[in-house]
Amino acid sequence: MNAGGGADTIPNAFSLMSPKQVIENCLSCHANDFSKANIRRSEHTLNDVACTSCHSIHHAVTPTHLLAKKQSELCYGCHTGVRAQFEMPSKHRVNEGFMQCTDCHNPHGAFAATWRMADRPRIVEQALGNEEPCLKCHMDKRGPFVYEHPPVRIEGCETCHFPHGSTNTRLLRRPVVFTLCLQCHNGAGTFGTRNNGETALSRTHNLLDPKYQNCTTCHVRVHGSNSDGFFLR
Amino acid sequence: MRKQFLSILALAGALSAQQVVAPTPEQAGASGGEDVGNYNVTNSFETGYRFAEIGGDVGKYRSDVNFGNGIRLLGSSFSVNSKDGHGHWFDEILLNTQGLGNDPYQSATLRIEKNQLYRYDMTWRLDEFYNPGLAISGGLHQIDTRRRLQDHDLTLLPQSKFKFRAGYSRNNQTGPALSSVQEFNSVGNQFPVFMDVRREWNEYRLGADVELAGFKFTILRRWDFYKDDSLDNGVSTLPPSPGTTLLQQFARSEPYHGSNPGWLGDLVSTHKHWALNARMTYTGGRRDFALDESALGVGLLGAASRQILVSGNADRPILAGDFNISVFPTDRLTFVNNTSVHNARTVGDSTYTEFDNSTGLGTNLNFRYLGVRTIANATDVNYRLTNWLGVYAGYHYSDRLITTIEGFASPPDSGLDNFDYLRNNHMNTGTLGVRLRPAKPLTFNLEGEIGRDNQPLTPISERNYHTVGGRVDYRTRKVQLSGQYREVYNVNAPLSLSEFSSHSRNYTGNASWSPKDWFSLDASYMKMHLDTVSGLVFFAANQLVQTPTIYISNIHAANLGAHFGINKRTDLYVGYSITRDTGDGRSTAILPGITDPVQGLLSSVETFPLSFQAPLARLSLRLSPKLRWNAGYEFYDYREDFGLLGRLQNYHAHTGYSSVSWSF
Repeated sequence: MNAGGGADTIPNAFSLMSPKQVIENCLSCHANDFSKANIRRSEHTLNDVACTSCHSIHHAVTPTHLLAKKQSELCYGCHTGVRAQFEMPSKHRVNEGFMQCTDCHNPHGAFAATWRMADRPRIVEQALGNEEPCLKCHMDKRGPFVYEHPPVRIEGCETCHFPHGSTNTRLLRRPVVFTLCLQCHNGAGTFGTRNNGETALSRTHNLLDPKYQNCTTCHVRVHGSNSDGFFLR
Repeated sequence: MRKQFLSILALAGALSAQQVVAPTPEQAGASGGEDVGNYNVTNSFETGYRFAEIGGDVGKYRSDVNFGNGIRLLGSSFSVNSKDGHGHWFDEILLNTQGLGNDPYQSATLRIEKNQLYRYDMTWRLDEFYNPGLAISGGLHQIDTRRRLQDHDLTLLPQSKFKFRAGYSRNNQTGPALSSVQEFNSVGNQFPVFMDVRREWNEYRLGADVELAGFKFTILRRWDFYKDDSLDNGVSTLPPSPGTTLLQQFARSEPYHGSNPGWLGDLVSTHKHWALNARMTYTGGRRDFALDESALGVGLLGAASRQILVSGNADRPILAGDFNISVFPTDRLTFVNNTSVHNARTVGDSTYTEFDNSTGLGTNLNFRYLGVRTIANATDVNYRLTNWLGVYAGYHYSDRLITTIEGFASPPDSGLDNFDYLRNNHMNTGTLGVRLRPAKPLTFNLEGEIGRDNQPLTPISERNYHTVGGRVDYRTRKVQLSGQYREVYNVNAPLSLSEFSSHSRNYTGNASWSPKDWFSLDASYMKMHLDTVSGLVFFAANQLVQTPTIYISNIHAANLGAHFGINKRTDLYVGYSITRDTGDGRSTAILPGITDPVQGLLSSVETFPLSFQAPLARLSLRLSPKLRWNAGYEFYDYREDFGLLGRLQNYHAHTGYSSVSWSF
């Protein structure tokens, strides 16, 4: 039997509520959940993305979490640029089904980042207690190392890598390695942990020689080393 | 009923607008399942043969795509649900798999739950990653490893005010690789050495949630253990240069073991006019390491044989805390303030001993300390003036102190020479945004942000930046349209030499149209323009070069997918995706007229145009209510215009599959 009344006749129809009312309604039961601790300050909430933007109580298509669509399709619906990045040659395998957006992101809001200046990224989940989520899978880059490469630990992996996808191999921000390294390692200014500029190349490195154009061929432990301050072993 | 079923299938097709041809999203069997006793059961299994025929650079194909040939359990879905929510041992079992059998990306998820008593979640994943090349790929190293991840979480009394949690996670990476090591012959050649990768990480978790007097307290204790027992072994295979003797033998053992025990505590309370959340985490990281390396042959400095021993340990305790308070004076106003503290202290010592032809060259002791302390405070205000107009604003302040100590002693008992450095910086950022909803399906968002950092860590860090963005959405049941623009401009150039500016502009558009149950269309387009100017300093043939350089990336990416339901029995999906970096428009890697080798080198790395496209088609035919036949084809084409340092890694691949989906 079809009542035929439509949403207007339902006392608490989510479709008639403002985004804030939707969130408050849902939080009346789901507030006491650690994963939603930051929902009130999340980017989604600020942009009026409420619970029913992603969840469907009666018509969920996923076996868990009552999602209105498959997770990646939900996210791609708004984040078209991110979708394009996952279709680039070098990418994390989200479309292939190996990963999901929520492996790294908390759509309900995340704690302040523990890297960079704690201001961004704002919806990236911390992993392993209080570290960057990349380290959850790439555990060999986690350290601690006696010789840390400071930007990795202080500024985060995205200093050199695109996290979603890239036209460059290994998600790098530049196609050629030496251009990536040398834009910091130019000895100029008061940068670096020593306040006197990032270490520049020595005279022994003739950049016209192809073997010196591939920095990581020799500096193999570029994420951190226990044996060598120049990351050679 | 049939129409309803087909509608669900059509919806499933529309939702699968992604450029991987298999598994087939359409499932066999009745969507409503079948009743068996007190349970409702659904199941669908898809088995078939996947093929791949690759031309060109197979290594690059394996790095980007990596699908191969063979029989697969492409996907499966199985669910059992109690009809009244009072099953004897369980109320729900969910099992989903993908790619089992030998696909490079495999996964399985399992949930078993009994209402109010327990919930168990398991995820297992496998990723087969291949990376080609050594020096030819810009210094990247060949790697052909498998990574297996698994997570197990058990919650007891999941709907109670007293919950107990236990969990276990495992991550291991194994397989062959090539490593270039810092051993040179007399002409400075590097040597690729076989590496047997053996890394393993295990984590155990115990925790509880308690709700009391309007507060919820969560506590989690974790123990994780990591070990890397990768081995380097090899003999040089490079052809000898005239008049030189090669490195002849090399072996390295480098065990690296440690643990990261940690705590997490969280307190949450939500009320009508206020809410708070407080979190504290502590992780104590420790690693012990040793390195034993021996090399035979003639090295760069003429050494005939050399042994290096390194040992030591590194610790990193990390403390992080957050305090978040939200106030809701009215229904329209939200005020949120968040304070966070993060303190990581990495400290370690490394003892280095070197022998040359069995003669001790000495022992050094190195000490390092890197402390990073960040305190941040953010305030966000969100005010809805009317039902169609809202504004929000935020201010963020963060202060960071980096402490570095570098110590050195030779011999180790001679007393450390310490060098201490302090670096303190702070950043202020402000955001302002407006939301408009002139009609129910139509929304506009405009947002801007400005930030200033007084002393960023690196020449590419954010110093003086602003972002401007806008978004428009139109969403109805059958049509979804959206457009977005975002611009980020960062200038970090205190000196002419370290000149750095980065300017990105990102335009996106998306359209989805589902006019009928049997037809849906999905299209998207993105343009991402990036231009970066940075100052480089290097030596070229003993001449110091100081020069600005530019990098330009101009990426256009498009995606089109269409789903057709034909004769109520057949589903056809066709899709196409393309990524095209047009660079700066030049036709040659090195601009015409450049004869200077240094300028030629810089010119060749200013832009890197390429294209990557993947058209696909997939057909799924319902043979009976419980049986479907599926087939699909996807073509990959990767083309570099200039090549990476002169080498093209182009490839194309014909991939596809034929499979049967069945339900019983």
